[in-house]
Amino acid sequence: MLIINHIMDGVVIGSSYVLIALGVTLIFGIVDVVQIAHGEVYMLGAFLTLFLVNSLHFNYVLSIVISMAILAVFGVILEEGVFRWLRGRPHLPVILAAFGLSMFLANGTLLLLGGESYAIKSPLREQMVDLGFYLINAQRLLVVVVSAGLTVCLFLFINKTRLGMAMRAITQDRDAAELVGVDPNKIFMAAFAVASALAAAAGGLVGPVFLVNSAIGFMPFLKSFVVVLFGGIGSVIGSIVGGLTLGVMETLAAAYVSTEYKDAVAFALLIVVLLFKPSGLFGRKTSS
Amino acid sequence: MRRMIRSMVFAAFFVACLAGTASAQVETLKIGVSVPLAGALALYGQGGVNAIKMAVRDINASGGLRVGGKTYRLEAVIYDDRNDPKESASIMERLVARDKVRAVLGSVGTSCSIAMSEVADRVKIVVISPYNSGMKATQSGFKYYFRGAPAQIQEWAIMPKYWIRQGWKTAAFLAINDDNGRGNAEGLAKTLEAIGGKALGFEWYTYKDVDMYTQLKKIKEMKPDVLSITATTQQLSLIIRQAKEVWPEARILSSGGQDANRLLELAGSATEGLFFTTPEPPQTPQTIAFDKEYENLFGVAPFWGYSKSAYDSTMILAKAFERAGKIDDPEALRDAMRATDYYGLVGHFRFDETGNNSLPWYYGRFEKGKVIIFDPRK
Repeated sequence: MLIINHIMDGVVIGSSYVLIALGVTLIFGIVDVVQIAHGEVYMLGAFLTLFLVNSLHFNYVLSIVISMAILAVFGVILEEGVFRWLRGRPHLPVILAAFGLSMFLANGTLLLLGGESYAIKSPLREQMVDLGFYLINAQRLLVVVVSAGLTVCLFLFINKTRLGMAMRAITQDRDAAELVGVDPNKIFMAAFAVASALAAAAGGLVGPVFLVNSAIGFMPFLKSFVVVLFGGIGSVIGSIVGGLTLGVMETLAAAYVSTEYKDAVAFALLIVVLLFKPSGLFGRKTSS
Repeated sequence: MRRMIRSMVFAAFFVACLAGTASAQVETLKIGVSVPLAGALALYGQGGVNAIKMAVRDINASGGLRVGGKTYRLEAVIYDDRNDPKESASIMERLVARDKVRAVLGSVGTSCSIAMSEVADRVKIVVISPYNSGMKATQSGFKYYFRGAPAQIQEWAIMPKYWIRQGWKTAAFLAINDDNGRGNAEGLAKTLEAIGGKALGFEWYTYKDVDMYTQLKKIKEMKPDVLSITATTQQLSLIIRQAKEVWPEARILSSGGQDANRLLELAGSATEGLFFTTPEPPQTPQTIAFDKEYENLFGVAPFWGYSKSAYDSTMILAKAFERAGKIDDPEALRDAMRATDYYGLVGHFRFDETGNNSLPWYYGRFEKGKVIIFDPRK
C-alpha cells in the first residue's frame, strides 16, 4: 500500500500550497494584481512566529494568531503604499513593482537577520499520529487540518457575509458594483488583509515542518501561482483542487518517475490541462 | 569659506605625513578571502572568516611576517561569493586588480573553487581552500590551487572499510544533485563494491528541496544496512528529522563535514545515533585552547573542523611567504606552498603536485545529545 502512502504525502504538501494559493487567487481575482511578494509575506509570517515562539516563548497557536493579525495590517500597508498607486496601469508595471517588492522584502530580511536557517520549536514537531492506514507527523497533520478549517472559513466569508458578497460583486462587474455603493478601495484593502493573514498562517504552520530563512518565500509563490492558473483565477475551489493535485502529482512523479524530474513532470501535466482549458479548471471565461 | 579650505589643506597634509611615517615602518601584505556569507553555506563561510581573522591577528601580534628582510603586517580582504561560481570569478579579478592581494583563501563549494582556480592560473596567484573536498578541483590540472581540508578521496578510502568491518555490507545513497554530491556518492559506492559490499541505489535532491519523504521511502524499500547522505548541515537537519518520521530505525551516516552544534540546534533529538564525517580531530590541548579563544573572540563556538582548517590554511600561507622570500613572485610562492610540511590543528599538511593533501576524516557520532569523535581507521 505504498501508493496510498505517497498520495497522502502529496496531500500534506498540497495543502500547504492551497493556503498560499488562496491568498494569491484572492488578490489576483479581486484586485487584478499578481502579488509576487506573497511568498515573502509567507516568509515574514514564519519569521514572526519563530520570534514569538523561540525568543518570547509565547504559546505556539497564539503566536500564529498574532502574526496573522500583524501581517493582515502589513497587507493593507502594501496595498495602500504600493499597489494603490499603480491602479489602472497596464499589467507589466504592476508585475515589475510586485517583483521589486518581493526582492526588497527577501533581501531586506537577509540584510537584517542574516542568511541562517532556524527551526520553529512547535510542540508538535517531534510527535507522530497513527491514522491506521497512514502514520503522520503531528505538525504535518496540523497543517492539513488548519488549512482545511481556514479554507472553509474563507468560503463562508466570501459567500455568506456582506463584505464577501461585495468582493464577488467587484470581481464580476466593477462599474456596476461601484454604482450600487461598493467602495473598491475598501474591498481591495480587505482582500490584501485576508490574503496576507492566510500567508502568515501558512508560514507559521509550515515553518516547523521545514526550516525558516529569508529565501523560503519564492518557491511556494511559484507553486501557488501555477496552482492558481491551473484551478482558475479567483476560484477558491480551483485553488483547493489545484493545490492538492500539484502536491500529489509531484510526489507520485518523484516516486514512480524520478526525483530529479518531479517538478518537470508535475508542471508538464499542468501545461497539458491549460492547453485544453486555458482559463483553468474552475475559471470563468474572461474577455481580456 | 577660504578659512575652511585652508584648514582642510592642513588636515590633508597632516594625514599624508602620518600615513608616510606608518608605511615607512611596516608594509601591509594583503590576502583575499572569497567565501559564501549568505545563503545555504553561510555558516561554513562565517566559521572560516572568523578563524582567518584570528590567524591574522595572531601573526600580527607576533610581529608580523618577515619576508626577504622586510616586515609585513598581514591584512585580510573579505568578500561574499554567495556560493555562485560567476561571483567567485569576478571577486578573484577584483581581489587581484583592485585590492592587490598576493594570495587568496576560498571557497567552500567545488564549482566556486574551480571558477577561482581558472582565474588564478591565468593571473598567477596562489589559492588555498580551507573547505573544499570535491575531487574535480584538484584533478583539473590547475597549477596554483591547494586544498586546505580533507579530500573526498580520503573519505572513500576510509569510510566504506569501516562499514564492512562493522558488518554493514549494503548501502543506499541520498545526495545533493551537483558535482560534489554525485561525485561523493558514486565514489563511496565504487570503493564499497570493490571491497565486497553492495550499493543498492541512489536518490538525489536539489538545494531548493525541503521535503525528502519520497526519497526516504524509496530507499527504505531497498532495505540497506546503511543510508549514506551527502548534504549541507541545514538540509541534513531536514533529512534526519524526516527520516525519524518515516523510517526511525534507519542507520544514517553523513558526509560533507557537518557542524554538530548547529545540527543539534536544528534537528534536536533526531540527531540521536547519527554518524557524520568531520575534519575535526579528537580533542587535543591545542584544539581545546583554540575553541576557547575563538569563543572568547566571537561569542559563538567555531564551525566544526573548518574553523580549524581555515586557521591552519592561513598559517600555511604565511609560512610559505616567508620561505618564498618575496611577496611579488607567484611562482616562488607556489613552489614554497608545495614544500609545505606543517602540523596544524586538523592534521599533517603536505601537498602533492595537484595541490591535494592526505588529511584524514573522522567520524562523529551523536549519543544522548553529545558527540563522540573517533578515528574510523582504528
